[in-house]
Amino acid sequence: MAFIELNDVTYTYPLMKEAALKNISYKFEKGKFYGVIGENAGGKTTLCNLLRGLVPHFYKGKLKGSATINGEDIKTIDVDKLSTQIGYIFQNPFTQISGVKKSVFEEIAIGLENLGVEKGEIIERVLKIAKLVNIESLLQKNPNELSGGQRQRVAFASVIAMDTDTFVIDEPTSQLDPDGTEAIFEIIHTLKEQGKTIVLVEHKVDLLAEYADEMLVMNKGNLIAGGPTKEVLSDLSLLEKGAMLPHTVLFNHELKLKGVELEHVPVTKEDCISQLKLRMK
Amino acid sequence: MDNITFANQFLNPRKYGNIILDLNPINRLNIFVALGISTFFVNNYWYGFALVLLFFVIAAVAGRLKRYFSVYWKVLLLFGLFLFVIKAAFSPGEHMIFQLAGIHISTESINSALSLISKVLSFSGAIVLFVQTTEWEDFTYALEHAGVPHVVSFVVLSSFQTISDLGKSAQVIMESQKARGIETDGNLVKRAKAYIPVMGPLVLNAISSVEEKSIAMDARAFSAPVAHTHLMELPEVTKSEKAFVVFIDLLLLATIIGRIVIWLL
Amino acid sequence: MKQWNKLTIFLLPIGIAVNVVGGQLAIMLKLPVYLDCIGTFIVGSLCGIVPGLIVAVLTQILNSITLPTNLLYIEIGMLFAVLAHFFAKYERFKTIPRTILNGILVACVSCCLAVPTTAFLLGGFVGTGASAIVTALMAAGWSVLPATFVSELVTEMMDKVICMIIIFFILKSIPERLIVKLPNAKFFVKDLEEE
Repeated sequence: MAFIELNDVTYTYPLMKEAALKNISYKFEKGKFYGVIGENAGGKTTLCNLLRGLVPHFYKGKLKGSATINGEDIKTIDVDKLSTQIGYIFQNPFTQISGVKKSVFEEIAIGLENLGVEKGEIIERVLKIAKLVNIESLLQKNPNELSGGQRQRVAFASVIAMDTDTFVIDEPTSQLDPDGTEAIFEIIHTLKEQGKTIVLVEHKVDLLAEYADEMLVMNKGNLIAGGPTKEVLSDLSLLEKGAMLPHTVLFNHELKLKGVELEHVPVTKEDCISQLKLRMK
Repeated sequence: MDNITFANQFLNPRKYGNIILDLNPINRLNIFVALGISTFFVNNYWYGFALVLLFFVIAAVAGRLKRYFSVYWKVLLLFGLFLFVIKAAFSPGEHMIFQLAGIHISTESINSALSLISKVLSFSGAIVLFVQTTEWEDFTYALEHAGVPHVVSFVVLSSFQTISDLGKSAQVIMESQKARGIETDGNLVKRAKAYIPVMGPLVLNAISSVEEKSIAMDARAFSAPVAHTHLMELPEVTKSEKAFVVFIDLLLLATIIGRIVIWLL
Repeated sequence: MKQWNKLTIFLLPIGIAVNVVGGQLAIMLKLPVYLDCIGTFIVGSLCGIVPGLIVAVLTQILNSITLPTNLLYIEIGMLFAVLAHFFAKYERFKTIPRTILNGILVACVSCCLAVPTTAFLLGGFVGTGASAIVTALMAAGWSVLPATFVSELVTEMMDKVICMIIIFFILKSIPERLIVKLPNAKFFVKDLEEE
């Protein structure tokens, strides 16, 4: 059975005329990695808020259709309990620091304290996560004095440390350089291998193409494509609807125009390289 | 310090190795405030001045004399000196010592001035001493331990951070206003006009960040229906400490009752 | 008890900080007014009496860290929180003239509360600019009560009218999508659909 099931969901924020999500139907399964792309203000963040129960509980507004998380109707779900099951990380690094702790170590520990984890285990888990996210050098620093990129990694670590089964992650790399971004993707990939369910909103579609199992493409509140990553990203018509596609797909298109046909549309670099090698033989 | 040593600090309750600082914060508050209140029930200004002295001694024992004085001097100046002068100069009295225009200093006015400032100085001393010997996170931990919801801790600690953040942004906005030619000094009207362009954006930005802040803290299971644990803990309160606090409170009670009895007779 | 509105919890530290920083800024610009209750009024009018009270009380406790006599005036801030709620309820923040009237009302009320404390407990002395006026009046032969009253009324009137005008503009500028999530939304947003 699907873990999260959206059935013809339409949602409108309070005081707004136009719906932010329009007739969305999709099934999210446990243990899979979902990438979400699409133009800005296309409904990606609203989708995240829905998966986290913030829509409609926190944002109020009107929700039509049905949405269930783990079989529970989202309209009646206990949002506070949901926060212990679904981790949520978003873009702004400044609002995600609590402002009540004097060291990054204690900052990461907050979520664990709130979950009632024993002290010994908190210490163990904080040290482990700090190593994974590569912020060991920051542990003793004051989180309120860090740069945007550093805060983003601390916020990421703080939520990952809570070890929920599902993570909804909305543009976690906006403040990071390419190396930092790659590192975050690798961590997310590790999480997926541990059996976590991941929903990741990202502009960096080349990286998503490498890691995501399925892709969702949003446009003006509509879900204009959704399915296995390869299928979705091979569809060139998405370009006209504001979605970005991997460089390899565009490259393949250029090749085609010049009369070079590959076996199938490559969505990752490796795939592209191996196909090119085949052709050259 | 490496991270392991740093982390292991949390394994044991936090200790300062100082008899004053290691009192439980709530007990310390109780003791100081009891002393501070007692001054209102003792009809002798020497008692108040003795307390003022005692607070200096306690601050010294706690190793916080400098911090204590850095705040308390203002109280001493405003209330010890100015308030004394005003009270002595304008309070009514019969045994006149000095008189000039509206000013009339008498034995009675000096006495009432001393009595008033001994109370204000000793009560203020108690509060300042508590704040200067207490880390806020220790105090909020103690409150939580005593059953106060953790939301209270968050609000208190977060207020300090928000004050410092907003203070910094105010500075930044003011600099940029200056750069755009808005005067922040000069005559009163100009200075008053500078207030709103600084305060307006400051408040609005802070208020609009509140949504995300709420979502972010929610993501850390802020309102999860689970009993919380604490990474940083304070030592259990010893029996002798408990007894001492009860003793002080009983003394205060006796003083108050004694005062009422004298007043009734 | 109904569960606390989540946004309200996170607005409390902001209200407190706005009070404190607003006051500091007034001092920094050497203005003859305090402007240290903007946060109380904003939280009180947007979120209701209890949140406003928390902001008022905590602000005054923080102010007492450096000047403990501030604790003696704690009830005034608390009254502001209550007034703020009713100002919002009866739409007293809708126009500028109403806002100015609020300021005058608040000044009078706060004056009546502050004067007895200042006059009797502290002999007319508060340690602010108003003290200079009191001292001058008393030196001219006024007795302590009227001297304190006049000086407080003058400063309070200026302070509260300016405060209210600032609050008026801030409340006007807060986006409606935020206000609808707060407890007092119904006082600010027309045709709000109740779920």
